[in-house]
Amino acid sequence: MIVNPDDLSCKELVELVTDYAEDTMPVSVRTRFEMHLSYCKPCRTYLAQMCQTIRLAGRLSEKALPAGAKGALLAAFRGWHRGDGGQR
Amino acid sequence: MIAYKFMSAGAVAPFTRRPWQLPGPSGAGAWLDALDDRPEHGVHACRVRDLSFWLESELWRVELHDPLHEGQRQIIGSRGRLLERVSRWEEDGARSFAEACAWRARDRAVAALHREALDDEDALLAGCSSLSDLRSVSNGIAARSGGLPAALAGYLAETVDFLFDGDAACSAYISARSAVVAERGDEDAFGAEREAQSWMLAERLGLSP
Repeated sequence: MIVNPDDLSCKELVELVTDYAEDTMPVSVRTRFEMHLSYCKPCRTYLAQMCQTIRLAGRLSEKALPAGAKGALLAAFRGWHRGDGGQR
Repeated sequence: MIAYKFMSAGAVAPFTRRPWQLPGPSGAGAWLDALDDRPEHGVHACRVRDLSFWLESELWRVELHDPLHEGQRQIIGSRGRLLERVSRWEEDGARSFAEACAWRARDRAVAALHREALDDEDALLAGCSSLSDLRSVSNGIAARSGGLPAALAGYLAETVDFLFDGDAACSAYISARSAVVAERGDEDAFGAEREAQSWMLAERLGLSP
């Protein structure tokens, strides 16, 4: 991958979006990230959607899970670790 | 220090979404303080040579307060305030800037093709006198050629596509990326072209360095 201090690809931005939203990004990476946003409307939309998702998901608690959902999710993640993609 | 800052509509910082207070009849707007001492949380603006990296809907001349931190393509201050809006940017400045960037990309592509003795494609692109013409010719070259001519023509066609869609920032970016292709993959050509775009913009808007 070519790393240009003045540029960042959409793919790189997608990989970094959580760090940006959580404000844990070094300033040099943050600058490249924001330079990219300056010209890329689709990535701005993606970032806005991710931030919205994080905000909404942050309101959820374990108690808010519908009956049976916790068990189904745990089973899916166990399956994913086994490599069967969580298929049951 | 006097610097420049692109803003979202209404003098809102494009990333933090913090509103800056507008200048009043008696002078500059109120100081906006950094959120804390971390450089990423400081008040950001840029030098003239880096303007093209940060295009947005409004352009402002601003004052940054010490202590200053020199960042990548930006200056970071402990606080900043608005001095004056560069209204010429909003009065068709973005569109005409992107058009000029597209023609710079065309000229660079012509020079690159000439160096490789690719005279047919070189002449076709050099003969374009309108952006519609440039898009049409570029699409034709991209469809029937390979290698350098197709790559350069692809960038030129996209440059004009985004320009016609009203996205001057993306169009200018693609123009600058095409410089890397013209220079056979030299990534430094991108930053150099962005700086050249910035100087061109400053001249068009009458900005002082």
